[in-house]
Formats: sequence, structure tokens, C-alpha cells
Amino acid sequence: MSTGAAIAIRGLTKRYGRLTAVRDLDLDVEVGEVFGFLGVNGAGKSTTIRILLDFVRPTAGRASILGHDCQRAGLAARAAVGYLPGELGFYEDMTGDAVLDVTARLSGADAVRGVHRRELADRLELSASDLGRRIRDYSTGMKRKLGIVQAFQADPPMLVLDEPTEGLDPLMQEAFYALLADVRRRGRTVFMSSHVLSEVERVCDRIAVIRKGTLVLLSTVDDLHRIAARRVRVIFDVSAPPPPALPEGCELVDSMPTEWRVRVRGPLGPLLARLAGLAVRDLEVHEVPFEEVLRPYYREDTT
Amino acid sequence: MGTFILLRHSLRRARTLVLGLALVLSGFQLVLTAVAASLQRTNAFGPLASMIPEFFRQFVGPSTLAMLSFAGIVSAGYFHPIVIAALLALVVTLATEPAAEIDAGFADLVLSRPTPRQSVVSRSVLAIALSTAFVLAAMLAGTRLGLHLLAPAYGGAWPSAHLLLSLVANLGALAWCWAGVAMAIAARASRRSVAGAATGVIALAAFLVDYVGRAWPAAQMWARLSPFHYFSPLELVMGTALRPADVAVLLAVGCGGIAASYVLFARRDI
Repeated sequence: MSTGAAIAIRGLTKRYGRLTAVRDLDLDVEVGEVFGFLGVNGAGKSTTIRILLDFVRPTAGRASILGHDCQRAGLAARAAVGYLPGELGFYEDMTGDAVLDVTARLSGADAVRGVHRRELADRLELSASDLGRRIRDYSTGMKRKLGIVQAFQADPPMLVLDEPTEGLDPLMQEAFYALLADVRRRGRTVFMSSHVLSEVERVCDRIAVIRKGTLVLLSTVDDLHRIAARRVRVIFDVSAPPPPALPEGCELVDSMPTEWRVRVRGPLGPLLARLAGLAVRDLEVHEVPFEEVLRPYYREDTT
Repeated sequence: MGTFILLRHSLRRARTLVLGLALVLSGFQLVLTAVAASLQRTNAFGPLASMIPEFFRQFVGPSTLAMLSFAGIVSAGYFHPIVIAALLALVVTLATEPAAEIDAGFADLVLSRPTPRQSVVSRSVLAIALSTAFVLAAMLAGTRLGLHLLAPAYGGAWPSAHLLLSLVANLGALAWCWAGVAMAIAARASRRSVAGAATGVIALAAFLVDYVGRAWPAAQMWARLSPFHYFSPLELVMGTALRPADVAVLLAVGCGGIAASYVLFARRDI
């Protein structure tokens, strides 16, 4: 299954008894892109990630990372991955340094450069004394920062991140976004799940939304913005009667004597052409929040 | 490579438990030697034996007399129920580490690396073997130290080195057997507590089956199903040689459990 994609998923299905967690999923993630994998809790995101890491065996279908089948060549696939779990399973009696040492050694003897690890810890404000403390003394945010360092420390070509900013304060979220921007610049691939849609909008090139195990949306973030309906408010100097018809893609939502409210999908040009010759005093264009764009794909009654 | 990284990590985490148990059990051997020396010094073994009612002596057999000797008391530390329970608790704790790692989520960090699943099982096998060997060696050292320090005058009554080694081999084989059972259960479990409790219940049932089988002829056939049936330290104290077939059964059960744990752990969802 060598497609040249960083992640290639074909017909992936996972059933737990009568429950189908992932249903016939097809997905490609390109090398060098930051890919957001979205969905409500229980949609099948974690199951898909766990199949990629060979924690869970698929009922049908296949998945590969950088050309390595995740099940048949799992070691080679995982050698290319840095993984941040959604729930971090650190032993409370271990120190931060001990966690990083064990995970670094398991990544391969030469995989981790001390300088790089130190730099990562510095950027996330984890001091040497923090790393010398036992995990039981860590706050939720510190554990998450430690998790990020262990995932990034081997500088792998692929990062799989499950809810990466959960528990981070806004300053640390910014530090994480800067880290993500760096790895993207260096051509690394990032596959991340998140519930924070503003974060997805900010950092992701493409997104997929999965619902009840089925893919319901696959798009670039830019395309989503393009196809999303904008709200346009047109204010007239004098009374303007409601138009009998508007160009394709435009829908009159409300009309008052000197104001129209129009929903526009696609380019604004046709609407502007229609307004030519009318006494337009002002025009307000409101972008639809990303959350609203995605909301229909999260709902059950939309496909 | 992953096996030894995980082994080092496991031994570091278990070192307090292993060292503590080794210290306590070797200390217990010293105390038993002191007790045996004290009884020997006061010639108390004969009067003690005579105090045991005849019916009870017939019920428990000649092992009572064997126990009421210097060598018997010194050897008791290798088959005292508390000692057996403590050693089995150690091996079950180590054997159920894969389940504990899944429970805690640490398995996600380990297995997201290029670490084969077999390494997780191999690590536990090595941790059990090394820790058990260390504790048994400490017990043996405690006995030898006790004999030399506390009972040098009764060299003629000392248990032979062959007897002590036979007792250690017998106890080690029993520990290995239950380690295998615990590993097979833990390879399918997602919680250490469930795997540990299941092993404990099975071990208790097996112990009772053997116990009843030894006391009630009608139940002797069932006793063969219990691993404890193949653990006969009192017979060793009475002078019977360690039966290789018994040791082989215990080792085979342990190896079978470990083999099953490799297969089960490789196939399961984490």
C-alpha cells in the first residue's frame, strides 16, 4: 500500500462486538501537512489513532505510515512516529527526567539529542528542577508539557497528537503552536485530534470530521472558509424594496425598508453587481465562525 | 534492546519491594536458626515431640518428627505458608506488570515506540527470574549466615547443603509455576488488580484442593490438578530426594503460562 502519503488508510473498519467504532474509512494525509482529525467523543478518532499505532487491530482494511503497514510492519511505522496520548499514563513515582529517558531509549539509542530535548523543555518552560521532580507533584498542564516533550524529543518525521493542548494555559498553547509551526517548516507531518476548533482553524492545513466511525467531511481549512456562507448586511440611503430575486448563492434572510440581510455562499461579486445602481450607503460582511461552519458536520441529522 | 530497557525500568521500580522482601525473608531464616539453636541447646526437641498426642502424630504422619529437629526448624522458612505467600505475591506483582501498564496508560508510551510486544512479556519473565533468584539466594545466605553465626556448635545437626538447595529449587519451581499462571491471566487483563485477584483465587483454590487431597484419600485424585501437589518440602526434610518429575511439572506449567502470555499479549487490543 505504497501511495506516497504520510498516512494512508483504506477501508478501515473496527468492530467491538455489535458496535462499529470505525466504518470503512478511507483517508490520505500528505507528507508535510498538519492534519486535524475531528469528531465528537466516541466518533472513532481514538480508535483510528490506536490502529495507526497498532494498539488495536482492525477488523478490516489497512493503514500505513510513510509506506509501512501499521500492522505488518508496525515497528518500522512506529519508528517514524512521536505520539502524544490523550490521557498520559505516567507512573506517579517516576521523575520527568526518568520518563523522558525511558521513552528516548525506546525510540532508539541515537534518536534523541540532549540539546534538542533541553530546547523543547525550555520552550515549554519545564525547568531542570521540574524534570527532577516526581510526576505526582506535577499539575495537569505540566504533565501535558512533559507529554509534548516526549513526543517531540526524537524529532520524528510524523507526529500523532491526541488533544495536544488539553490542560495547557493560553501562554503554553502559544508556545505549542510555535513548536508546531517549527516542525511544519521542517517538513514534518502532524496528525492531530482536537476539540478546540479555533486551534484547528489556526494550525491545520486540512481537516477530516468523523461521525459514528464514518468520514463525513474532508477539506482544506481554506476551502471550508470559501464554501461557508457569509452574512452580508446592506444599508441603503433610501428605502429599497425587497428584491424579487438574488444571484445564485445569495439568499435574502431579512429585509427592512433601508436594510437587507443576505447570506452569501461563494464569491461576493454577483451580489455587488446586483447592488449596482442602488443607493447603497454601507456594506458589512461577516465571516461565519469556524465552529458554525463545522457544526453541521458534527450533528447526526447532517451528512 | 527494548526488553532490557524495560527490564531496567521495571527493576528500578520494583527494587524496594524486592530488596525489602529479600531482607525480611533472609532475616526470618536467621531467626529460625536462632530458634533451632535455642531448642537444640536446651534439648527441647524430644520433650516437644512427646507432647504431641498420638492421634495427631498419626494424622499428620512422620513429618511432625522430622519438623521437630534442628534441620526441620531451620528448613521451615522454605515452606512456611507466609513465606510462600510472600514469594508468590512478589512474582504475581511482577507478572501482572503488563496489565498494570495498560491500566496506567504507560503501555501507550512504550508501545508507540518501535518496541515489539514480545519485549513487554520478555521483560516480565526476566524480572521474575532475576528477582526470585535474588530473594531465594538471600534466603539461602540468611540460613548459611545463621548457621555459622548462631549455631556453629551444632554442625552435625545442620541441614545438608543438598537439602537446602533442594528446598530452594522446589520453592523456586513453585514460584515459576504461579508466575506463568499470573502472566497468562495478565496478558488478557486490562487491570493489574483483576489479574492479581484472579491468580490469587486460583492459587487459593489449588492450595485447598491439594490440602484436602493430602488429608482425604477420596480427594487424592483431584489433588493432582493442583500445582501444590508437586511441592513436597516436608518429604525433602524427611530425607526423600527432590523428584525431578515434580519439578518438571511445576516448570512446565510456568513455561506453558508464559508461552500463552506471549501469544495472548501479541493478539490483544491494548
